[in-house]
Amino acid sequence: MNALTQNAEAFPGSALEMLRLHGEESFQSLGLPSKKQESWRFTPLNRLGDLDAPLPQTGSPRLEGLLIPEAHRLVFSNGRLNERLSNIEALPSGCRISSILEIAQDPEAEEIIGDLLPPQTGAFQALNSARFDHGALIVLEAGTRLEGPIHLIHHCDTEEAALYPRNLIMLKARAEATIIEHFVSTGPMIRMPLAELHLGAGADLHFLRLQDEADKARHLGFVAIALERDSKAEFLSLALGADLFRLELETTLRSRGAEASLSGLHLGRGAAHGEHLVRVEHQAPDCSSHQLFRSILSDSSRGVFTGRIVVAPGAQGTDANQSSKSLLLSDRAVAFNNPQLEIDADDVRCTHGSTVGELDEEALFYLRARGIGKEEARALLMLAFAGEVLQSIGVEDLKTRLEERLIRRFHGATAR
Amino acid sequence: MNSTAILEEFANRDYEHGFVTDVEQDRFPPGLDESVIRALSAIKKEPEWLLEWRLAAYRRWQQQQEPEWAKVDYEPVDYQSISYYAAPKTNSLESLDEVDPEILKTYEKLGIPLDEQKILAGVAVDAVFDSVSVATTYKEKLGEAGIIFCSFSEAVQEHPELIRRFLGSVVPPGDNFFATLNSAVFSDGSFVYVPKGVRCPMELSTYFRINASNTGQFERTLIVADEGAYVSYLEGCTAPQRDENQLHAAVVELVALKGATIKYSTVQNWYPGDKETGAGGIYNFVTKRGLCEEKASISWTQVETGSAITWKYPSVVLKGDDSIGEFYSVALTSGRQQADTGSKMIHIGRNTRSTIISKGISAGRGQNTYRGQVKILPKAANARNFSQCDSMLIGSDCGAHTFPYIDVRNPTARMEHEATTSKIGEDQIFYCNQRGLSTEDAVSMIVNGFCKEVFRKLPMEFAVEAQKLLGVSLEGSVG
Repeated sequence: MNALTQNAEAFPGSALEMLRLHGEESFQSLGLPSKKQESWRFTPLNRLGDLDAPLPQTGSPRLEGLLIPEAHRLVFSNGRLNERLSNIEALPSGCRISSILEIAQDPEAEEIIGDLLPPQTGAFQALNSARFDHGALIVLEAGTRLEGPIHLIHHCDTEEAALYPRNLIMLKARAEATIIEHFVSTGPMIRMPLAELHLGAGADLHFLRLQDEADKARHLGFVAIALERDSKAEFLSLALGADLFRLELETTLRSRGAEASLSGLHLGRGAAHGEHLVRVEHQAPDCSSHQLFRSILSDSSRGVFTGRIVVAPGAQGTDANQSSKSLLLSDRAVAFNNPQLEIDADDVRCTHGSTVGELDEEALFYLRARGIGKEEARALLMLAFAGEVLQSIGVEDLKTRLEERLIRRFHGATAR
Repeated sequence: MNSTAILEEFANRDYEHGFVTDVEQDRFPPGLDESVIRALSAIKKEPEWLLEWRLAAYRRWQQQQEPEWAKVDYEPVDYQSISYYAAPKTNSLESLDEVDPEILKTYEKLGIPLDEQKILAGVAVDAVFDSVSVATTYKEKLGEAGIIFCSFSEAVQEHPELIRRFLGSVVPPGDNFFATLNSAVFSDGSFVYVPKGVRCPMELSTYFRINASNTGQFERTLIVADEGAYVSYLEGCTAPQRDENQLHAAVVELVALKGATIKYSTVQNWYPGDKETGAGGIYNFVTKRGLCEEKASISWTQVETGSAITWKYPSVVLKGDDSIGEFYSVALTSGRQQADTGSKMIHIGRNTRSTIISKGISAGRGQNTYRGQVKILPKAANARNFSQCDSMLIGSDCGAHTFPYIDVRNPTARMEHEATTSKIGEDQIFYCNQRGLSTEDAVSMIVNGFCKEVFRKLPMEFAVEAQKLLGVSLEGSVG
């Protein structure tokens, strides 16, 4: 508790201070969630571990193989901004990237921080609000088109740590950007990142969230996206590691013509638990949303997908679809799929589809009949299954690297 | 006349079955405690074990919480203001002639005159009037085949060994809040036993009607199909129009032993409450579940057009290898109705198969929710499920919601779920108008087409009734 109060004192009188106090209060009154709550019934909260672990020592991150040459880069190492490894010199005017802790210099951003995921929405959102101490503030002024992606790297190389990063991203009218957020760790730390993404009218955002934590790590993420008129968001979540992974993704289509494409791929192995919890709310007419989620589960891993489409009264002309598929590679793997529709307008087109099964024996036979080895054939089919999601990655170099990595992993996963 | 006007006219149509029958009643004062259960059990001359069973359920119920997870909104039920037993005064009936003519008239109004039915369709009817089964037709004919079809109370007296063996074997007494309450206070219901290898020669049917005000109806149905047997069972429900809400908390248990088949069809048309204010109407909180042994099959078909609140999830536990579960449903909510309904398929055995086809139609200010679960357990190798949940919205003030839960623990299982939401398009209506169909006919045709897959599963007479019902409930709400 003392550490928290100190945090609040570090920013006297600021919006951040208010947010922290509010966060602390909400966390105290909400308490930790329990399995009795509908949205937490699948999550093994007993694996959470120590939420109060102190800020670790400065790390010495090894970034070989992670870097994207043309990217504007911020590197956070063990919860601190590492300016030496970061590189944001080539930014055009109209684009500002800074540490979230410097938000006081941007009154407009200060005004809206916490709007999309206010502390009272949940215990962990509250906890993040109370404790966040690193993360990025990205603002693109109206009409700014950013060449090259922004690459946010969150690296952690200690065993015990509890990290609370937070991003606030604002794309004003017609701004365009590609952002890659990359979480890498080497030990059983816990990370609870929160991000708020605001898209102004006609803005266009590609966001890739790459969760590549250590197999023993725990990662509970919260992302909210708000879309104004005719804006477009493409959001992709890749979950490759962690023993406990959960991402809550909240998307609100606020004004006519907005479009959101959300996709996710979760690879589970060992006894890992992975969960995508998606909520898309159509508040305005003539918006469209697409959801595409896949999970590949081996060993005794568990995959959960809960996706809800909400169509508010008056949101006529809504076009919303959702597809979730799980591939079970082992007798002990478990898939839970909960596609949900909540519709209060009549002129809508909403569909969802969901399947669970193992690799298609006929497809496997087809490949083997053409001289492809069993393991190779299985890996190919898995890559094809994952490929639907991967194809939306716009950064070619990164896509190739990821595909190569997945192929290697699928080869390993085929041994039952 | 434009389509909105037509719709309005239809929507304003009154509930046809909203009359009250004037019959002398034997009833308990409102309230529930152990003495009520003892008195109830005494009236029915029940054996000691059944009384204990009820009391155990009652004690359990006191510990339970009323579920709140369903997407329905209603005034809380005061369980102490309900009378837990109401029976027409005339008792112990030997033949149809002894049935109170008022009651028979009620059935006539409902369109199921008992004596006519004898000649007509060959449907045996066990009619439940409030809580007591008043007449059972066709008993003798069924007796020849060794089939037992009687009221539940009668079965307790005549076939205690069967009741004791199967009662609570599918829906245990503490299963959920409403089922537990039912276990404590169930008044009557139907019992069916079809012996080994017998194919029941006719469709069996119960017709429920809640007549008295301030009463709850807690019927309990138990159907057992022994090895290789076949039975098709129909259930229809109506209730008079009253301003206060009435509770209907039934339990239906189906047991399909090795190789047996049970088809259970429901047409539910309880009073839905006032169209504008939502006052009155039935709270339909029902637990229905079937258990399939090896190679057995159970099929639920339901057409739900009535009730203010529907809370109902007919389920099948696919315990035996190669067993089959099916669920076909049409649920319509108009006016202020709310329905939270769906199915649960629990795959335990190998090569088990299940199908869920659910059609939800929302009109007026109705709220229609599909909530279902498909669970494939680790031993259920090669299990197969196909689920399809379609919703149709009519008007801009209604809601359609879908909450399926899919839980797969075996990699050889194949599970598919699809859902769509749509409305009747103006282009579709226009197309029909162009070809000389009135808007009204066009709507009716489109809705019937939408529900066709389910209606096909209903027995003939029921299918016709269901189509009519749907027509009546819908008309006036299409725009």
